[in-house]
Amino acid sequence: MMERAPRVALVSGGSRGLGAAIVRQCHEQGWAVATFSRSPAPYIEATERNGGDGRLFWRAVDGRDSTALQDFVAAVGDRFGGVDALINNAGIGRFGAFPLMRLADIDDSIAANLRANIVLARLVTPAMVARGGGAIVNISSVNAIRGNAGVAVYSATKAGLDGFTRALARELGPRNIRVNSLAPGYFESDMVSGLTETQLRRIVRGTPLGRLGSVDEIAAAVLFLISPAAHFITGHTLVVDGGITC
Amino acid sequence: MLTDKPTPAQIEAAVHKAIADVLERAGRQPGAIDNDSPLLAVGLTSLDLAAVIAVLQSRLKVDPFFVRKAITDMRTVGDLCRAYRDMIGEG
Repeated sequence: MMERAPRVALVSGGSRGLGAAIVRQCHEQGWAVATFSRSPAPYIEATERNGGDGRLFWRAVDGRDSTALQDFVAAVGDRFGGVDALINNAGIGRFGAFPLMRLADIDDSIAANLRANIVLARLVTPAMVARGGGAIVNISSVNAIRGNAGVAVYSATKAGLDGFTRALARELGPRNIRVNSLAPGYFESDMVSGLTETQLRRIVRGTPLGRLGSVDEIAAAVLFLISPAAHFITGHTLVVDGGITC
Repeated sequence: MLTDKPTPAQIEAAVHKAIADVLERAGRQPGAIDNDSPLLAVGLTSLDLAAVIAVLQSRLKVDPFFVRKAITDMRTVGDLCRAYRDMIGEG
C-alpha cells in the first residue's frame, strides 16, 4: 500500500457530540478529516476562521440521501485522495414505548442508524480494497448488547451494525481492511440529556466506575481502533461503558 | 483522469488498463485482456472487481454498480465496458 500523509479519516455526523469529538481528536493527532452533517460543525468553522490548515473538510449532507453520500465520498477523494479510516458515527435516537411508535420514526431510525452506515461503507470500501488497506469503526451501543425498555428499534439498528461489522471483517480482512464496532455506554451527550435525574442516578448506580463517561473518553477509544496499536484487531465490538454491561 | 466525456474507445481502454493495473498490483501477471474474455478467466476475484470499480471511479468519475447495474450480471470484460459506456453515454 502506498503511504500517504496525512492519513484521512471520514467521520459521519461530525458536527456535535461524539462525532465532533472524534473529528477534533483525529485532527489534533494529525489526520486529515472529512465529515458531513445536516447542521454546521462548530469545531471546523472555528478552525477555518483561524486560518485553517487544509486538513478539514465539511459538507451539509443528510446521510439518508444516498446520492448525496456518493457525491460527498467523491469530493473527499478529490480533496484528500482517498479514505484510510471510516467512522460510521451518525445516528439518531427515536425512543419510546415500542407498541406506540410511529412508522415514520421506525423508518427514520433504520435509515439513519443502519442503512446510511452500510451505504457509506459500500461507497468507501472499493477504494480501500484498491489501495490495500483501511479501517472502519461502526459506532454501536450498549443497547445492542443488553435489552432496555424504550429503545427497541434503536437497539435493533445497533445490533444490525454489529452483525455488519463481523461479516465485513471476515470479507475484507484478507485485503487488510479492519472492521470493528465500538459500543459506548452512557456518556454526557444529547442522547442522555432527555433522561430524568432519577434515570441518570440509576444508570450511575449500575455502573461499576460510578459515573457517566465523557465524550472524549469514547472518542479516544475510536482513535485507538483506527491506530497502528489496533492493527491485529478486527471483527470486534469494543464496549466502552464503565462496566455497566459486565 | 479524463477531463472531457470519454469516447467509447477511451472507456474501453480505461477498463482494460484498470484491470491490468489491479492484477499487476496484486502481483499477478495480466494476460491478454479483450472484450470477449470472461472476467474469471482474466483472473479477477470479486474483491479485485471492487478495486477495478474504485480505479475507474477515480478515472471516469462514475460507478455504474452503485445504483444501476448488478456486478453479478457482468460475465466478460466487454460487459464491463458496456456498463461504463451506457452510464457515461446517459450522463
